[in-house]
Amino acid sequence: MWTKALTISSIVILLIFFQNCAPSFESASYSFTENTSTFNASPTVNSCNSNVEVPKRRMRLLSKKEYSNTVKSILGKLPNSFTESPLEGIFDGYTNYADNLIVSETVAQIFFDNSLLIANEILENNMFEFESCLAKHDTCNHSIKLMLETVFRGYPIDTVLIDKYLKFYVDQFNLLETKKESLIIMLAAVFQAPQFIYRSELGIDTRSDLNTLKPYELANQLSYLFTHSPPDKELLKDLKNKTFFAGSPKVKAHALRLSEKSNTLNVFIENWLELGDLSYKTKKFALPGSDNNEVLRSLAGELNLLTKKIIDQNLNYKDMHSLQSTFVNANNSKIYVDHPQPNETYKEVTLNKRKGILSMAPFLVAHSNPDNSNPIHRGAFVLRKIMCGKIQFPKDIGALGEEPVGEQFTTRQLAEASTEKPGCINCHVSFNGYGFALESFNEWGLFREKEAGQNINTETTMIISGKQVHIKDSVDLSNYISTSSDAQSCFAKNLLTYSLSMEEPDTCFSDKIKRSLATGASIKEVFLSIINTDQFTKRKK
Amino acid sequence: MALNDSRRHFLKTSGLAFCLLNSIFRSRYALANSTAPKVYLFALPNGLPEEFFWPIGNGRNFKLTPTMSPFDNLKPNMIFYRGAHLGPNNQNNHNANWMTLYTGLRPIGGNVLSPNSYKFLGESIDYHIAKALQQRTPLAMIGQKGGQYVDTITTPGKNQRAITTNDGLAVFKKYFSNTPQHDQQSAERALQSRKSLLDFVRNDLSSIQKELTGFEKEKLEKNIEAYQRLEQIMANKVNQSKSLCKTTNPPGGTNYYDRARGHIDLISNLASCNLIDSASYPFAADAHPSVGHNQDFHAFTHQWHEIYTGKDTAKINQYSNQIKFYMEQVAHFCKKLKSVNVEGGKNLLDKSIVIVSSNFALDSDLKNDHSNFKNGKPKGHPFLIISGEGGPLKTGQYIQEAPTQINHCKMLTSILNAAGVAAKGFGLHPNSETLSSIV
Repeated sequence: MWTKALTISSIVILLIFFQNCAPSFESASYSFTENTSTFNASPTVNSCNSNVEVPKRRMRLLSKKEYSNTVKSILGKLPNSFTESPLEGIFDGYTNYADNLIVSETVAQIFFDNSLLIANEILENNMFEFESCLAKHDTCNHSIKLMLETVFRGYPIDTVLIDKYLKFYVDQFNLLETKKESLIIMLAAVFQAPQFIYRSELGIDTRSDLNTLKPYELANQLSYLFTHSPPDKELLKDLKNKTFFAGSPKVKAHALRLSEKSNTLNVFIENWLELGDLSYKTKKFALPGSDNNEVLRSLAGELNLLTKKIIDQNLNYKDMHSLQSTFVNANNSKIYVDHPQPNETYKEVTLNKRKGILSMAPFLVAHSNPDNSNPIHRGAFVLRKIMCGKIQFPKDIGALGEEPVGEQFTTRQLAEASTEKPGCINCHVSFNGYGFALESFNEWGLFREKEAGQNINTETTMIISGKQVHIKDSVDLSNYISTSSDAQSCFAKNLLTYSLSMEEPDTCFSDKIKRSLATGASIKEVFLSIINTDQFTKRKK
Repeated sequence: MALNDSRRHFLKTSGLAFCLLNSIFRSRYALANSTAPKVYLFALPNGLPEEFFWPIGNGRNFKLTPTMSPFDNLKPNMIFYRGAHLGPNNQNNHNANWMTLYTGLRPIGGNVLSPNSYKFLGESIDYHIAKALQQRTPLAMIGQKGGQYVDTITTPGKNQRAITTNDGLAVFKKYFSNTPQHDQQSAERALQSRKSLLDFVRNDLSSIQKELTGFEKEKLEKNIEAYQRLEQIMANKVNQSKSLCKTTNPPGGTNYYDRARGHIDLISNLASCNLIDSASYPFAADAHPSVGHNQDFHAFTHQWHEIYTGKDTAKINQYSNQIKFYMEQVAHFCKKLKSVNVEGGKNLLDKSIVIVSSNFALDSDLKNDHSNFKNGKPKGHPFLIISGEGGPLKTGQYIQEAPTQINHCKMLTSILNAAGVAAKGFGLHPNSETLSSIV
């Protein structure tokens, strides 16, 4: 009893908002039927005549995943004791936001430690023919050249650069008096060099206000966007042959190839939906006959397959919110109880009580409390990241009053009671309803019809963009989101924030993307359409 | 460019030298964020009698009890906080209370008859801090398993109990075999090498930085500064390694005193060598023959009401000695930290937060009771915090508040913030805010 009241109170405290903090939406016009769950979107976005805003020239630090993948691609594995993370400054759920990726003292220490581990690994495995270098000094420049070509991912390697590292090696030898140690120090310098830990987006310096990215910069940009890994051999080959550059047909060809090679969408969806590391979520109660950890781990696999399906099957925005199948194995079938599975192999199953990605277990589990569904948080998330409404946090949380207590109440009832005061409801009214619509799914994403002896109530009426909207349940919510102009705009903005690593993508560009989404272009197509734009290939001085 | 061939004879020793060099500087688990305080948790078993623990006096004018006298020279560093409770619904069970104490959550499952079936629900505060600050420490817990003369070392992981073994020495060797040794000449040479490496990287960064403006330039500047700072840390490490950074293996045998002291020395040495950022140490619940205990310590503590009200001086002294023994170890730990100078004229204790508590607040008024309740109301749980003067915590005071008012999550939230992890709450109280009296 006390647990539930306490937990609810914590949610409420977290999300009490000021009066007059109604969510702000960009104006959008679409035909609308009041008090119905059917929405026919017909966006009328002005055409974009102005110059679009492009990201500034920058050095973009590799994100955690990119850094690990890059090391893995060189060594074939991560060394023992390797620390995976540069500390990521997460912005609105995004782990790749350029301005937040900064080398703090902590990150510098990690890079330093890791560089020595990597260096050791290279020598242990005689990579880049460094054994010859140890035996015969005049082969060292060859080894260094081989290494730099791989490690610097297409950055032009000339004799000046090779000599720089060779000289550093010799200096180290004069100090340390052992070749192996000296080589390790030299290699450690390479693995902390800006050409390794950063992605250069400086561009070719011209008199123009816009610098076109250098071919190797574009290759990196493309490869990391689609695979979160450095350019592969094929891309490097075209780079070497000078057939890959901004505007060349090779750009689109490689983009297409890379998009099919790996699960491009997975990290974006993880970031957009703020799923975090699903295996580290905590749930109070175990599902019958299951181990919490195993179930949680299986959700990452489910998400991976769902996002792969979106790309492989050329699904569009509406399709994503209309998904009625997911991937189930023995572990997450404890959530999708109608589809028991015998082993760890995932099987695609059709679901009849769920629709859209928000009704799948990865989202529902990530956005709930250890012991309840947390409709307030779920609702706030939908407002913030699905509808791009703004929420302002309260300055003062002092006047909460008594919390409702009792096992006889449903989570929704407790949430409603906790937010009904005028100082709370003025803001909560703008998002609680989204969460209530998802109340048929508990903290595990398990479908339920009853709670605390009562029928689950998922109906809600909300004011969205100045209109009264009645939402019956989660299916209705997905229907609404899949056709809402605001939601499409929001998705377009999120897609650009992620793919350009910038906070506020150009609204005009965002509108173009939104129009593509509204006309039913697949998400893969939209992704691919970004790569030949100025936003992707140029940088502002 | 050619290498000096006359130096080649040194190659024969390169393997050894490199090990040494790495052990001093690379330190796999080395200081990740040198500015954030480190957190060390000490836990006393079977409750802590209020009569032994709480000082006499109030505020800044307080006097330690004889049992707490090992801390006499550390009074300016101490905070006694009396008033936080473990929640009106805590389980009144040894294991359950342990879990609640440092996770701020109530465990699930289990009952008094099968207490070991309780399950952790979340991270303990030390692990939470280590994770949030990206601190790298393999050591979540080193301690002595209750009831047996065996060591338990626990390494961090999900729900904290990723690896538990009774073979403490084996675990220690696995994680700390690469501990610093002493070779002044090699150390100095290694330092020079590392400095030149950092200089090289900084120069590289500077050349790129020149091409940037505005925020991008600042970003690279921050990167360069981070490497400068790293260089300072390395220099400090060498200085520490010259005198204080000596690690020892945990001692074996059945001498409780030696082994406990050995563990404490191990933790403080690992801390001074920057090999760990946090650790928790639960003292064994065994009787302690070296201070006069030969009986079942747990059963003994259940007699506290009879012992105290019956004025059984011999047993009161026995009990006091046992608690004092625990406190001696913690005080020894704190003093060792205090003796280690770090940058900025500070010592290691200034950069640490040491928390001492227990699973119960024993009350002599209550018969046969390991309980955190008195007359149906939660009692003020024993909390002692030791940290640097003038640091993030308001040390040198004994704070007493109405015990029913403050959930200990507020205390844990205060510790989080003092440790550099901005948090509005912790555990069951995600918005508890902090205790303004201590932080």
